[in-house]
Amino acid sequence: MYSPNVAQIKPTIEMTSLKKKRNEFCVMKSITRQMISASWTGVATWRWIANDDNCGICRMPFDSCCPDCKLPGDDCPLVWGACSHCFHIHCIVKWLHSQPQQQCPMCRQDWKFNNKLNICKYYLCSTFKSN
Amino acid sequence: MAAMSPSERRLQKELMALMKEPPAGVTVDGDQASQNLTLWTIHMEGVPGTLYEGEKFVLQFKFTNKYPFDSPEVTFVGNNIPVHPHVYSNGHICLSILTDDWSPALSVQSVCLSIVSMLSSCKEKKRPPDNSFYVKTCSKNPKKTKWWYHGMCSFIFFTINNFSKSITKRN
Repeated sequence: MYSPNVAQIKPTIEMTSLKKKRNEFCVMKSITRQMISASWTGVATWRWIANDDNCGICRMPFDSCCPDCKLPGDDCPLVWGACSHCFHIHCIVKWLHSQPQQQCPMCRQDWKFNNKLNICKYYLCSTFKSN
Repeated sequence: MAAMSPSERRLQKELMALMKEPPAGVTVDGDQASQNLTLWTIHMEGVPGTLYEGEKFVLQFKFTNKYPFDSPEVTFVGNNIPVHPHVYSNGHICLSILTDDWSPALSVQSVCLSIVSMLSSCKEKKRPPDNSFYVKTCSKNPKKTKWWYHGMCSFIFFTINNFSKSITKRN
């Protein structure tokens, strides 16, 4: 489930490059076993588990960041409301600050942060380790 | 190409989606909108089987750089303004999602659908009861009107400009 190492891993890596990495690694493994233990690199892909693909406010994919950020991941996380709707944190906070009443943009219920969901925010969907 | 602002990025996405899969009877002027993303012209046809069957209308959308946190300014333009109890003869529309009930989860498409449905559900073609007073006194921008939304739209309103003027006069 939640892996604390995830934050150190490049978030934009794709499956194709993963496969390439693995192939390179296998070649390397056959040449020298000594080098392998010396240079261990972990590679992973991750994605948000959300009930939608895009943020309802900025319409950017959840796997990408909000339009004010450059990199997805820890710096531009998603947050869930008690109503189960989820947005980029920067988008929903910007909206709530601009409103006298704090309502979910999707369902207009009073907005409350769902703390349980917001804590377990990562789900590692596939990993590749070189051991 | 200059980097797009967040509002332009969202508008660009919406424009692409609206050109690709427009709702029935709705067409966006893509060339004009892509040249100036803050001003869109949308052509709308009256739905068959309703009072507006066969009629053609033109909607104008104006966006600020705060979109989608700020609602678009939507008015009917051109020489055919629908005769409808919620549409003033100057093209201003009394529709709550355009001001108080705006949400950033709404889009150009959902606003168009709301307007289509507002027109289609009309039972009698008539102007709002306070039309002549409103069009004489209102601001050019319908978002400056403080609309009072009631179930059947009793048209009580004041424009922010006029209200402040009347206060000044009294003092």
